[in-house]
Order: sequence, then C-alpha cells, then structure tokens
Amino acid sequence: MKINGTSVLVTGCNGVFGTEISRRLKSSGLNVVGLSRNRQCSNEFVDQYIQISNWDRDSEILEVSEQLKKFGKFDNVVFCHGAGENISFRFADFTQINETASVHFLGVAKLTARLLRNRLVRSPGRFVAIGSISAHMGSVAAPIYGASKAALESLFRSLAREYLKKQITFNTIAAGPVKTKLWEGAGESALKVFDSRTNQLGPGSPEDIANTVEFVLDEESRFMTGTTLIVDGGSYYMV
Amino acid sequence: MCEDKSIPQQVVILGGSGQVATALKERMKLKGIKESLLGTSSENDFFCDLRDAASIKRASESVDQFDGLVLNAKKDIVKPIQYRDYSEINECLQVGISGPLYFIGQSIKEKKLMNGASIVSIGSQSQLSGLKYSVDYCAVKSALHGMNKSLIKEFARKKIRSNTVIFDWIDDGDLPRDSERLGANDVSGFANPYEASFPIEFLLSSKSRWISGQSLLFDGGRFLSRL
Repeated sequence: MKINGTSVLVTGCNGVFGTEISRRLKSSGLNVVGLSRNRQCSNEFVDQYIQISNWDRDSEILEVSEQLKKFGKFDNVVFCHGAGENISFRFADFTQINETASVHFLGVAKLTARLLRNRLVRSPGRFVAIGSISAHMGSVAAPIYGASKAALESLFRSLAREYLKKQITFNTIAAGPVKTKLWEGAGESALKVFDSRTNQLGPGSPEDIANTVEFVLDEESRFMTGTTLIVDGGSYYMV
Repeated sequence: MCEDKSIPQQVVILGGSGQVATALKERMKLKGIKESLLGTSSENDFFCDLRDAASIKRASESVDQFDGLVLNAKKDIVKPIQYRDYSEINECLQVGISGPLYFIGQSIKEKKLMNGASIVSIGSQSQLSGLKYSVDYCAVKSALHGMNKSLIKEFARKKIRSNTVIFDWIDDGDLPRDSERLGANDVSGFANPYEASFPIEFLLSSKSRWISGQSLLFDGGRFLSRL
C-alpha cells in the first residue's frame, strides 16, 4: 500500500479515530497536521497542530483556514472529529440542534469550501469523512447527528462530481458502532448494538476504521469517488 | 504458507480467465498467497463448468480449503431481449449467479470454505444504471448484492463475509466501440485490470475484517456523473 502524496490534515486528531488514523499515516511517512478542539495536542503522531474551539463559529473557521495556508497544500484531508451528546429530538433546543449540525456537517462544509477556494488541496487529492451508520438506519438517540452525517454524504457525492476533472476524490466511511468510551458510558440498552444477533462480526475497533481510511487514501484508490463505504461488521443487514 | 495474517492464505477464483483475474493472481503471487483458478479454459487449475452441477461438485471436492473466494465468472450476450433464446438467458444466469451459489453451498458442505473467509463478487455499474441489450447480465449483477445480504445472515456464526465491488468498464483492451454502451462521460477514464484488482485484494484481506454485506462502488465517479 502506498498512501497518496506526502501530507494530510486530520480533524479531531485528539479523538480515538483521529489518533489511530494519524498514527498510520505518520508511519507511512506523511506530514500530519492536526486540528482539534483542545488547547493542547495530545496526539504524538501530529507534526503541526491548530486548535478549533467552535465548529459553529464562522469567524473561527475562517481564521483556521487562514492559518492552514502556512502548511502549503495538502494531499489528503480526513474529517474524523465528532462531539458526543445524545439529544432527544422533542426536547432539543435550537442551540443544541445548531451545534450538532455545525460540528458534523456545516463546519465540515465550510472548512472544505475554504480549503478548495484557497487552493489548499493538491491534485490528485483525497477527502475522506467519517460518517455514521445512523445516516442510513436512522437513530432514535441522535436524530440530528444522523441527519447531519447523511447531509455530509450527499455533499461529498456532489463534490465528487464537481472535482472529477481535478482528480480530487470525496468519499465517506459510514462507521458502525465502534466500542469506544462514549458507548461504554451509554448504558446497557445502548450496548445491545454489539450483540452477535445484530452484528455479524462483533464489535469494531478504531483500527477497522483506520484500515478503511488507509485503503481510500491509497494511490491505487483513485477510481473510488463519491462512495459511501459502510464499515459496520454487517450490522446494517443483520437487523 | 504465507506468514502475513492480514491476508488470506488460499484464494479460489471462479472464472479464472480474463485480465482482472490475471492481475489479481499477480498481486497474490507478490504476497505469497496460493490461488486456485476455476473455469472452463485451459489456463485454469481446475475445470469447472458453472452450467453443470456435476462439474461444480467435482471442482468443490478437488480444491484445497480456502479462506478467500472471488466470483469473477460472467456471461454477457449482447442482444435485444426479444431475440434471446431461453438457453442464452439460462446460461447467463447459471454462469453469473446459480453456478457460483451452488459452488458456495458445496464448498460449505465439503468443509472447504473456512470460517472467517471473505467472498468478493465482481459487480457492474450496469446493476445500478442498467445497460441496453444486456438485461440478463444486469439482473445477475443485481442479484449478487442480494446474495451478499443473505449469505452474511446465513453464515453469521462462521463469520464469513461477503461483499461486491462495482466497476464500470475496465480497460482490458476490449472496450465497446458503441459510445452509448460505453457511456458518454469519460472524465475519469477507465481503470485498468491491475487497478481494478486492488479493491478485491483489500476486501479479501483482514484489513477489511469489519466490512460485510456491502457493495463498494469503484467506478471513477462515472455512475454519479452520468447525468
């Protein structure tokens, strides 16, 4: 396997997915620029770091996109940030709805637009976003989250069409329930998703998602664009 | 025996002739994976006529145990539906879906298909968008997706995965001259057989161990940009 290019921007680099993805890409010799909400970078595989404290503040996204100019052009961009808060739809206030939509969709759309406008992504380039199985199956616990991930997939399909000639690919990896601390804290009923009756291959791990990111970023995956790859241990069809 | 645990140890390719199978064989050779080619032409390791149940049974008994299976066999007769014989339609279905399904069943029965194995079938963009004069071929390719979904339920305990890679035309030196059949948009060009074998290799390997029941579109964006 040979990863495309020499540089990558990883959002949510302090998270479980971000750490594993950065580790893989760093070991493949890429320069990793990390983006996360924390003041300090806790990921040892990140070469340069920028903080973004609020995905729902336009001024901050503009500022971040300006700061990114100093790193030159990126070959790959991986969106794997997230914020975990389950909101009951009926009781969610507008602020919570806005925040969730901003983190998972609007922020990604705005930063992608700026990266493309400022010509910060080289051709051939790769954009990969970690989506969610909830975009396909719906989610009672997190309806806005699922809707935002579905919107993200749709955006990437449109951009895949627009950037065919420039050889910049846009793909989404719809992750199934990966056993992280977030899930462990979600209670017994939530953990049913890892049951063998609903999941053919057992619980997934961040490594499974990182393996797929590596595959999409590979030089030989240039023919894959506008695709959503569901990585869920077969749970989508086992239900 | 291959030392790398992330890759399969023994792969069976149903429909061993053709450039994608040759490219895949080349990739596997580089990684030290053993492969068995099954088909009707002389370049295959085992004779297997997917139109004949007895031949399929014999082939499933002959092969060694395997943990990777590629369904690459196809029969595409380009002809308007009203001019097709019943035997032609049958042949297309037998080679594309009935034969491979019987082979999978027999391989399970003979304990040749190992637990944790990965089945990869070769799909076609025509299963999504349709293709004039290839009605039965498109129907067969759509059926493969239904097969994946059912197989993973049936083989849940055995942890056998089943996925499809959906390609557009592959540039094997024999692209159709008919631009309507080829598709008007040529922005992204066509994958060559070696490029096409890359996602197959990925889905066979344990790097994709958490991907099951899926159809992976690997068509250079041609399906999306056809409008």
